[in-house]
Amino acid sequence: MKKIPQAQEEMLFDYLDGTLNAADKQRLETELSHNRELKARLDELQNVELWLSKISLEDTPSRNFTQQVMGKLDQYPARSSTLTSRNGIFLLVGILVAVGLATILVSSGVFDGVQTTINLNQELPQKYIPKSLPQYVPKSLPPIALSGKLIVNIVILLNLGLAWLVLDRAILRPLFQRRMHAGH
Amino acid sequence: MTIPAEHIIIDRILAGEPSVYAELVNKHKSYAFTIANKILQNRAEAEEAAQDAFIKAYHHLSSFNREAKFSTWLYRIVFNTAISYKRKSRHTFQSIENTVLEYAPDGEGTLERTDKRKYLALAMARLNEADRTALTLFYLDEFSLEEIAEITGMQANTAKVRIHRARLRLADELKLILKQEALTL
Repeated sequence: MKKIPQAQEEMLFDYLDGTLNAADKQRLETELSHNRELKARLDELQNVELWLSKISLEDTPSRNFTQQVMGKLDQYPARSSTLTSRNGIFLLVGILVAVGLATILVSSGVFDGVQTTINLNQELPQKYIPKSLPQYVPKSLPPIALSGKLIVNIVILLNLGLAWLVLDRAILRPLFQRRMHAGH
Repeated sequence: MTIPAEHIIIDRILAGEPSVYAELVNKHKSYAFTIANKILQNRAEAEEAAQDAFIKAYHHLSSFNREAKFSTWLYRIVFNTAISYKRKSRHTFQSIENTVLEYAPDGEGTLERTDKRKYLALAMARLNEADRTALTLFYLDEFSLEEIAEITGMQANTAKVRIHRARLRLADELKLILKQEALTL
C-alpha cells in the first residue's frame, strides 16, 4: 500500500472523530471517492475504531481496595517515596561498619600524626592592591590547626546521627505503625 | 453556581472528617486502577500504585485548587505514581515485544467478543504506557482532550497527535497479531 501523507491521515482521524469542519469534510469526501488507497486506510481505521470501542472499565480493583486505602491514610509518605526497611537495614549496616572501622583506626592511633594548618594570611599580589591604598598593611590572622583525629571523630559523630535517622525512618517507625494498625 | 458534590466532600475531609474520603475512593477507584493497570500491565502493582496515589491525593487535598475537575487532578497523581512504579520495576518488567502471538480463529473464522477484547489487550500491551493511557482515556469517553492532556502532562495538541499515532500503531499491531484479513472481521 502506498504511504499516505501524515496530514491526510490526521484528517481521517478528525473525520472519524467528527471534528472536521464542513469545508474540509467535503474536500476529504471528494478525495475519498477517487482515491482508493485513502478509502482503504479509512476503512482500516474505522475497523480499529470498532475495536477500540470495546475498551471499557473492565479492570476492577480488589474488593477491599477502599478499606486498604483508608487503613493506610496515616502511613504517609507512601511506600514509593520512603526508604524501604530492607534498604534501610543495608544502609544502617554500611554506616555502622564504616563507623566501627573508623573507631578502630582512631583508637589505634593511625590519625595521631596527621596534622594540617590552614593559613589565612595569603598575601595578595601587588597588582591587586589599588594604588590609592599605598599604606595598606595586611593584618595577620592566626593559623588554624587541624588534626586528622579530630576530623575523623567529627565524621564518626555525623555518621552516628545519620545511623539514628535511618534506624528511626526505615525500621522503628514502620514497626510501630504496623503494631498500631494491628492493635485496631 | 452550584458547588460540585466532590468539593463538599473535600471540605468535610479538610474540616476533620477523614472517613468521608472513602466516598471519593469508591467513586474513582475503577478509573484509577484502570489507568495504573494500563501503565503497569500488572494487577498487583497497579493496585498498589493506585492505593499510593489515593493516599498521596488525600495528603495533598488542601493543594487541590478546584479550577480543574477533582477526577483530572486525581488521575494525574495516579498517572505519575504509576509511571514512577514503572521506572522502578523496569528491570523486572517482562516485555512482550518478542512474544509470539498467535491468531486462532474458531471454525467460522469469526472473532468472539471476548477474543476481540483479548487481542485488543495484547495489541495495547505493545504500545508504550503513555499511548495506552491516552487511548484508554479517550475511548472511555469521559474526558476531553484537554483533560487527557492534563492527566498525562502534555499539551492538548501533543495529546491529540499522540492519540492519532497510537491508533495507527494499534492498527498495525492488530494486523500483525491477527494477520491482515482478520482486522476487518
